[in-house]
Amino acid sequence: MNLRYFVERLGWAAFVLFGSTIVIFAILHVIPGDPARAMLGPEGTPEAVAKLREQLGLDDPLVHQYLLWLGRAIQGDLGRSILLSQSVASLLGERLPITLLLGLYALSFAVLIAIPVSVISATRRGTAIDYGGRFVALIGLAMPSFWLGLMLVLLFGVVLQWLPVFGYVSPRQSAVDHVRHMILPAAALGSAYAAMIMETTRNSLIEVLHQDYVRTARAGGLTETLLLYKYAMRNALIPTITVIGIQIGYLMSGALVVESVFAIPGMGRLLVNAVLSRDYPLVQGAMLVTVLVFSIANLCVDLLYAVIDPRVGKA
Amino acid sequence: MLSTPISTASEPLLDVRGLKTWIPTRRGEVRAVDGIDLRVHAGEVIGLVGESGCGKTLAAYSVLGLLPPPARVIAGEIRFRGDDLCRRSAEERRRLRGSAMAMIFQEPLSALNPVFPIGSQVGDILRRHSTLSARQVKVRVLELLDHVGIASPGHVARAYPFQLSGGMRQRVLIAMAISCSPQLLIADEPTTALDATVQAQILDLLQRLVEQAGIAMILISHDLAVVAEMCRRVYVMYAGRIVEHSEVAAVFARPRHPYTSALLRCMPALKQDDSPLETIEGVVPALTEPEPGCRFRPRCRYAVTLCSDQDPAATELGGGRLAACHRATELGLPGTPTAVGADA
Repeated sequence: MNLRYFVERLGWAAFVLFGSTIVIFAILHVIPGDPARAMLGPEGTPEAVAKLREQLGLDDPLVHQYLLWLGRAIQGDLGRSILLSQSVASLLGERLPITLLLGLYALSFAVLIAIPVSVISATRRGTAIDYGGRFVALIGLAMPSFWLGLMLVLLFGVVLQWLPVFGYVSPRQSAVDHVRHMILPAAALGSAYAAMIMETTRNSLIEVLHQDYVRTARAGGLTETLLLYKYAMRNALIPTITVIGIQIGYLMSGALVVESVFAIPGMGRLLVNAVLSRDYPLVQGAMLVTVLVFSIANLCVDLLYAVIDPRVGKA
Repeated sequence: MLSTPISTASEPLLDVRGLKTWIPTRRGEVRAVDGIDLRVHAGEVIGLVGESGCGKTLAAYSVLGLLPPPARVIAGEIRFRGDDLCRRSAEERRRLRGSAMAMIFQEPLSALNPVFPIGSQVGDILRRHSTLSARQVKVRVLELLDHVGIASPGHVARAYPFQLSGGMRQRVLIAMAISCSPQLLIADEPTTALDATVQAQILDLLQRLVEQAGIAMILISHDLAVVAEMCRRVYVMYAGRIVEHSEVAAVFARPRHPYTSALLRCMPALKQDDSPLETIEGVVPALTEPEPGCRFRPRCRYAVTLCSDQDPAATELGGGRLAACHRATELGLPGTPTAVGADA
């Protein structure tokens, strides 16, 4: 990987983040009427509205407000939640790691299932095993994650009683309980993701296995295992990484739903409550960290491209 | 050298008999290779010529065991060092590939893996067929790259395919093919995708390498001029069959099959006057349900009634010459007036 490519991608991520801050800041100001009144609702007394306006600095010029807000955000000060009267940063600090862990587990679950299945499907193309694997993947893709979550709860939690049905345990409290609580949510969130990764990897693997360089490797007498996992897989993973990157957004929005089903105190529930109660500082803060996570994930995907494919950023 | 009769004394290195490689399709079996006989002796360079789609490449894949499904060998023997490869397991054949027999492909641009450095790709084949240590493999890779005329082997070993020219890539592929000292090398149109100047260099390199190491080579080409320069014997293939076989000089001077004669007339390099370049009218017939009679008949200017009734068998014409034509002996087919390739 060369430095120019790295700097270019980093600059792009910074640009996206900067643009997002403008949009997120603007949310407060595109709602018709007075934001302070909108936040406080019909019960808000004129005094309370005036106080909130002053607290939010709504009487200052917009650019001034934005720069002030941005400056504070960079320093980690995202304001105070109106609903929970707590600093937004500390609220997010509690909730974000839980959602990130859930997303990470779901991603790992998806990759661990999808890659082996796609290899089996691609190498046995057109057989019953291939069709069976793809059929299961299609079901996984078609089933909404909340429905799948409920079914998993019913089977593993209620009928078999192997796993807890809801709640969250921090890994610091008990690593075993933490894992036990996260298995079903990760599976519910990850299965559609697994299906997408599987279908993409299978198709690109089939295409790659027909490439001339695979024939060259075969002509050199290389074993099918080496051929598949070294010569073909690395090329086949390029589209897979694209899908993983694009669908990170899906993973984050899916987390909101899955957190509700399994009563996990993550970002999802916090954000839903914030929106419902018009807690704008909290909404803005939550969106900002979401965008940040998304940008970092995309940056990682871009850099991963360069690691896998030497042509990226050099041609 | 040409005056010596075609060797029949020793057992051939490769002896293909009655090879049929068919491809099942919805419209029936495509008889891509339909009963060919082909012999290559140790250290000998032979040519296999014919138009695109005549089955040359599939015949080569059959020998190596590289047939892409659903193509498969349905009949015949492929004897290599006296041993019928069709009876060998996939694993046994895989062990032969890259070590005892190797192949060079037509498209050097796509034949190398884009995401691995050259050195790693050459090294993988060495590691597969030898017990060299990692260090020895590295040294051997550099030796091989140097051997195929790459000026800075260290640099090229670390480079990726996209950083090399077509000619360089073909040299790398040749290095891979000869890395484990094969006895048989199949070169499938090795220069077709290259610039004219590079073509000559690659052909020279191949000629030098096979001569030095005593490697037998099947040179697959549609270019008779290339074959004339490199080979002693040539097999002419048409629509899945061998239609003529002889020493190169004899084929050029006096072709016995109308198809060979037509091919010779199509060669721009051998044209003597300003007459427009000739083409062979018509197309290669569909190979699913061949009509009775000679497969070249629809395009043949010498065809008679017999040709549409009866499929001509390959007939021995003396001196190892074979032609599959009813009128092989009676037609005085035009060849090339001057003995081009006489020094081959």
